[in-house]
Amino acid sequence: MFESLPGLLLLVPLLTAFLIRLIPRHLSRVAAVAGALVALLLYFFLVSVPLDFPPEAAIEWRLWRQNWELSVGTWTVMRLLYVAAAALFLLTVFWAQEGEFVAAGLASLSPLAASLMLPFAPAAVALTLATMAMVVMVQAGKHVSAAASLRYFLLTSLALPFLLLAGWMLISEQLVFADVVWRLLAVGLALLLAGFPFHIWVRPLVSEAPSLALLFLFGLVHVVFLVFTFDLLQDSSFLDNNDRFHTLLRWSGIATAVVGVILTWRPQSHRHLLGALLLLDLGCAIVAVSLGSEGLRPALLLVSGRFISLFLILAALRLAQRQSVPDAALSASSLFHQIPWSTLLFAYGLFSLVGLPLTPGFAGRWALLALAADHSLLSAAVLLFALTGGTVGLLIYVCKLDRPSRVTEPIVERTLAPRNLIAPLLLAFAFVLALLPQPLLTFATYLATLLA
Amino acid sequence: MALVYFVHHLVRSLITMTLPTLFEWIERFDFLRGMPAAYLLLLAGAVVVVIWDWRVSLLALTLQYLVAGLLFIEILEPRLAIIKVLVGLFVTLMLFFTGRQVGQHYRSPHRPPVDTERDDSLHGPPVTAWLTPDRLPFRLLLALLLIVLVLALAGRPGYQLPAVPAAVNVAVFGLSGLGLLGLSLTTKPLPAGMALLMVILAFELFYNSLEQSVTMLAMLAIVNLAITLTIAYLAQAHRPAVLLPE
Repeated sequence: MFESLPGLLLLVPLLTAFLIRLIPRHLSRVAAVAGALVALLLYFFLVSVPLDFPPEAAIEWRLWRQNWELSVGTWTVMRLLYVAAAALFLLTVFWAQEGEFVAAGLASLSPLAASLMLPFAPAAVALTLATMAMVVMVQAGKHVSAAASLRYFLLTSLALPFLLLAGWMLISEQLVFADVVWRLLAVGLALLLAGFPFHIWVRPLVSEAPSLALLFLFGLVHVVFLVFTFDLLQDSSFLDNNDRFHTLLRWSGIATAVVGVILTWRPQSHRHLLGALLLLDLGCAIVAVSLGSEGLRPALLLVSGRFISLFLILAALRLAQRQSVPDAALSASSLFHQIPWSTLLFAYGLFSLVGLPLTPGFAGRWALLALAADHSLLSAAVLLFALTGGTVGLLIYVCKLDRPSRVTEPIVERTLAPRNLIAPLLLAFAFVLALLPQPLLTFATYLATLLA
Repeated sequence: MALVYFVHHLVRSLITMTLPTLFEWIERFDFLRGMPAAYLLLLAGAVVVVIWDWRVSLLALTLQYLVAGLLFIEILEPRLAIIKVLVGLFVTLMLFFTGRQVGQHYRSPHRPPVDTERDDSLHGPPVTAWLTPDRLPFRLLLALLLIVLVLALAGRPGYQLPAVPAAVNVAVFGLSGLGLLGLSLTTKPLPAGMALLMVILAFELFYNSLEQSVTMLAMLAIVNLAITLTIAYLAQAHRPAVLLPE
């Protein structure tokens, strides 16, 4: 069984995704539990792999004419991926998602795992296949408009030619390509990581995608994208001392963050605001990538902060919907008086996504700013200015939530019903995590050391 | 008895009939190899971008894959080049079935007013229904400008891609430019998908001259099929609710 590990990690999720797709919609909870069990099964299967060797070594297989490698670092990332996926699938038991969330999620786990074990070119192909599974998750079978999904699909698919060409040139190690390869790579990575000017799919997608699909995409899938990127940058001698590449990537990230900040000033809805803040965070992650191997730890902290912040925000929106507050009213005044805890959770999640102090998102933001200041004071200053602008825009939006309305709406969230305790509990958990970030910091440092 | 004998003889003739081999087919179309194939590709690409009707565009895309096979022969073994053509034909077949299912939504949005006295079942729809009366000149102009630019630049030494013949060079620049143009001119999945497939075809023409391993060939074939499946899914999802059966 150990000898066929890559094959199992590739085929089991695909087969079970197909079977789960056949489960009728009224048994969606059964599908969710089945999906979670499969992800946990893969997690325990990985745990059983004997990895008693140093982090710089790896197990190798020769399968389907390809060399597959599993290092301690990628093994840890894959376990994280399966556990998080299992948790998200299980969450759909209580938080129903439209469309084929579980099936598409399982189907995407297969190419994501492959991309962590394969050499660069096949890994890039695997990532492209994973984004196609994400398209199904994001569109969620809705028969209205596919504009957001289409834009995401087209832009991420266009990354493949650039990455494959750049990868071939890097492997060939011919100096004649030295001037071209970094340009191709910069464009390919900007397409993959939603860097400026290829960020245009983020806000429409955030407006239309199901909530847990956003967590899956911007949390789990982006971790794999970042690991793939750092792996590529570390293995290449062409890029080590190539300041132009790193500078171009850095300014693409900063531009993405600035665009996000500008969009926070007049959001048309809470989802638009969320999209804008995600752009800010994605931009920061690209800046972390541009800082070389030292940027891996801040990048991992940013993604984990993003995951937690997104979860808080989306949970608050879900709780508000469960309280029968109409969706349109979520941008209306007196929200705080109707559902105070959910509103607090929503606002706290937004502040965490910006990366303000006393929020879970602060650890990653601070690590990035400190590292960026070491490399380039100008970029750190621009980033800080952008974060400040984003904070002001966010404060203006949050303050509107508390404006009293003309009509007195009934108070909803003041009883001690179990569902009214979820928001306070989540807030308390997030606040404790913000005050005691040491476990998160230690894990990020450990993972960065394994992957470096 | 005579009828049975005739049928038996006919079937036997069909079984023993020899079909042309792959190399014989290549020899028959030898006159198209090189620059004629590149020009045909550009023409077909322009049709994909300019003409709105999915049926005409798909026919042009099919022609592209067939003609691209002649260019793939310049850079790959013929047996591998034929795989590219077969994958392309599978792709167009899948898009055809998708188009049949959602095609009503992809007809020109600016069809001329229906002539109530004209019976389309007898005469077929008017030709102008296959075009975009208001945007055709604009799309045609852009496509022509791009083709002129490609032909002007592709011949210059500074724009010669490494390790590819001149015809493939023209085809790579032309198809990728037309594909990107097509992507920017549409918001619908089916036309956008065809444009994306053109870009991927252009990329494959260049990449396969550098990297000729069977594994990457197979992976790119899977990518093409996966792109087509995704486009089909999005095209189905994009149908307006009014077109769905009650």
